[in-house]
Amino acid sequence: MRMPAVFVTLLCFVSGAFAEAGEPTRMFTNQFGKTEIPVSPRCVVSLHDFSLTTQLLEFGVTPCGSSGRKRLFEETVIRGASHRFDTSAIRYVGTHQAPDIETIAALKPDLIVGLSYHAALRDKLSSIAPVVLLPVHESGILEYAEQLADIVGKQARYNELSMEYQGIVSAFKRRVRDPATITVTPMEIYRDGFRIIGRGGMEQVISDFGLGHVAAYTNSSRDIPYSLERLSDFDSDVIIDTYEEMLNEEAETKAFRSTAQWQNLFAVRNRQFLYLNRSRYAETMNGLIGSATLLFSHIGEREVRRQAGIDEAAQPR
Amino acid sequence: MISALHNSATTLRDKQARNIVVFVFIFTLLFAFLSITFGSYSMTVADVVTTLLTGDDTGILRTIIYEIRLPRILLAILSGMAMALSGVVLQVLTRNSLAAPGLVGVEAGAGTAVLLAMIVWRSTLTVEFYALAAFVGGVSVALLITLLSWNRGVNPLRLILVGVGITAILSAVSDTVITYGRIDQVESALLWLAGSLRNAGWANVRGQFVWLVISGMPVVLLYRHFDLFQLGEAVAGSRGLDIGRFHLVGLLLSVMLTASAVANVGTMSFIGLLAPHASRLLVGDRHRFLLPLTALVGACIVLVGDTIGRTLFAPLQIPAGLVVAVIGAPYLLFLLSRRGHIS
Repeated sequence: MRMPAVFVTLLCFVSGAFAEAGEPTRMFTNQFGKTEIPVSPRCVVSLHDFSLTTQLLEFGVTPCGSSGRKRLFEETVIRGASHRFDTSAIRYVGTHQAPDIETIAALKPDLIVGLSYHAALRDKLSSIAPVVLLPVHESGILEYAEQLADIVGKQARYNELSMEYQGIVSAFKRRVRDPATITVTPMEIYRDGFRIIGRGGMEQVISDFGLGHVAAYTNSSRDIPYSLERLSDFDSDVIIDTYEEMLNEEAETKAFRSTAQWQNLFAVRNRQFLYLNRSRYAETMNGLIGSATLLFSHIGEREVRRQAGIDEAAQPR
Repeated sequence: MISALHNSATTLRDKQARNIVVFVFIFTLLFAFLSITFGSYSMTVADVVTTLLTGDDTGILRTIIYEIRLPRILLAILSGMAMALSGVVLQVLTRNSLAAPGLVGVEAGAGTAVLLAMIVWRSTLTVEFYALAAFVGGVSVALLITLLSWNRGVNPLRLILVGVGITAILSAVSDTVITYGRIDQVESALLWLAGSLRNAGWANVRGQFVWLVISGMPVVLLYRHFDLFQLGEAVAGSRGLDIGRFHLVGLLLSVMLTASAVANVGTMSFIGLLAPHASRLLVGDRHRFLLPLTALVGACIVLVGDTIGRTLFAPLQIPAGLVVAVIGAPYLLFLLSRRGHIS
C-alpha cells in the first residue's frame, strides 16, 4: 500500500520537475554578452527586417514577429523579404527604432534577436524572452549570419552559403588580374545629393575582391550627405547605386541623373554604372552572394573585353 | 455690505476653482488607471486589478503592467507637470502669455545638449548622463539669455527676443548634428526630439520625480509671491518682494523643470504654452489654484497624448509630442478665440 503511494509521489515530483524545466536551453555568447537561449526556438522575434528577418527566412526559419516599414493605412513592408518570401505569418511589431514591446509580448516569443542599438531595450525585452544582440554593423554579414545560424540551429545552411560566397570570391581572383587597379564606388543617390554607402554587403564584396577605390572614397564618411558638386571626386571605373521600389526613388532622382555632373561620370558614359534593387540584395548571405555575383559578372565581362582589347572603357583610366 | 458681498463672491470663486482642481485631479487618476488597460497587449480592468492587488511576481501581465505601462504612465504625468509648471513660471516672470520654455531658448538648450550627447558624444556619455546634459544645456542657455537681456534686472521683452535668437542658433546646431550624424543614431534622436515616452522606465520615473519635488514643489508653494509679482514690480517691491532674487529663483526653477522633462521625454514645446492657458481659462490668475491646476492639466495632456499615440495605430508608435501638437494646437486656438483672448 505504501509503495504505490511513494511511486505516485515520485512520479508527480519528476513530472513536475520536467514541467518546471520547460524546453531545454543552452548558453550563447558573443561580444554583447551571454544569454541563455532555447536549443530549438519556437517563436523568434526579429527587431530588424532588412538584416535579421530576411536572413532568418533565407535560413528557412519564419520569425513569428518582425519590425518593418509601415506607412499609415498601407501594408507593412518587410524590407528585403516582402517580395521574395511569404511573410503573411509574420506579425508586424513596429519600426526597428521603436518596436512595440507589448505586441512582442503578445506573441509569447521564446527568443528575440536585435542589433547593438537595441541594447537600451534589452532589460525590458528580457522580461519577455531571452534577447540576443548581433553584430550586424560591427562585424558585417558573414560574422552576424554565422551567429544567427548558430542560434536557430542552421549552421549547415550557413556553411553552404558561406562556401558559395567564398567560391565566387576565389573565382573572381582567378579571373581578374590586378583588381586593385579597378576603382569602384558604391553610393546612394537622393533628390539633392548622395552618400557613399554600399548595400547588400557590397562594401564587403569590394573589399574581398580586392578592388580599388578613388582617393576621395578613402577619406569619405557614409554619414555625410555630399552635394552634387562633389560627385566628380568619386568618379570611378565602376559606380554602384541602389534603389528601393516602394520609395519611388527612381522618379525622385531623375533630375539628379540628368545633370551634367552625373552624365559626365566615366562610369555613366561607359555603361559601367550598376543599378541594383536593394530590397533584393539585403544585408544577408544571399544579399552578399547576389552582390558578389553581379559585380563579378560585370567586372569579369569587362576583363574579357579588356584582355581582347575590344573596349576602350575597359582599359585602365 | 459691499465687503461682505465681495468676500462671498471670492469664497464662491475659490470653491469653484477648488472643485475644478479636484475634478481634474480625479480625472487624471481615473484616466491613468484606464490607460493601464489600453495597449497592444489586451487586458481587462479585472486583469489589471487582480495583478495590482495580488502583486504576482511572475507572468506576462505583471511585466506589461509594472515594467512597461506603469512607468510610462507615471512618466507622462510627472513630465507633463514639469513642462506645464515651467511654462506658467516663465509666463509670469516675463509677463508675456506667449512665453514658454520652447520660446525663450531653455528647451532648445536642453534639447541640443541631449542631441549632442546622443549623436556626437555617444561613446562618452551614457543614457544616465542625458538628464545632466539637458540640465547643463538648459542652465547655460538660461544664464546666457539672462546675461544678454539684463538691464538693471531681467527685461522681459529683451528676454524673449534674446531667447528667440538663441533658439534659432541652437536650432541650426541641432540641424547640423542631425544632418551629419550616423543614420541609426539620428533616427533614434529624431524620435526623441518628437517627444516620445517609448523608453520610459522606472529610472526615468524616479529621476523625474526627484526633479519635480526639488523644483516643482517650491513653485507651487510660492503662489503668494507669484500673486504679488503679478501686481507689478513697484507694488510687489513695496510689499517686500525681492524682485531680482525672485526673477533668478523663478528662472532657475523653470530651467530645472524643463531640463528634467526634456532629458526624459524629449521636446514637447507645446505643453508649457497650452496647459497654463487652458488653466487660466478655468480658474483665472490666482496662483493658489492656477499652479496646481496647470500641473494637472499638463499631466493630463501628455498622458492622453501618449495613450493615443501608443494605441491608435499600434504597433506603430506615434510620439506623444506629435499627438499633443496635432490635437492641442487647434484646441488652444478654439479656446482662445471663443473667449476673445486673441487680440
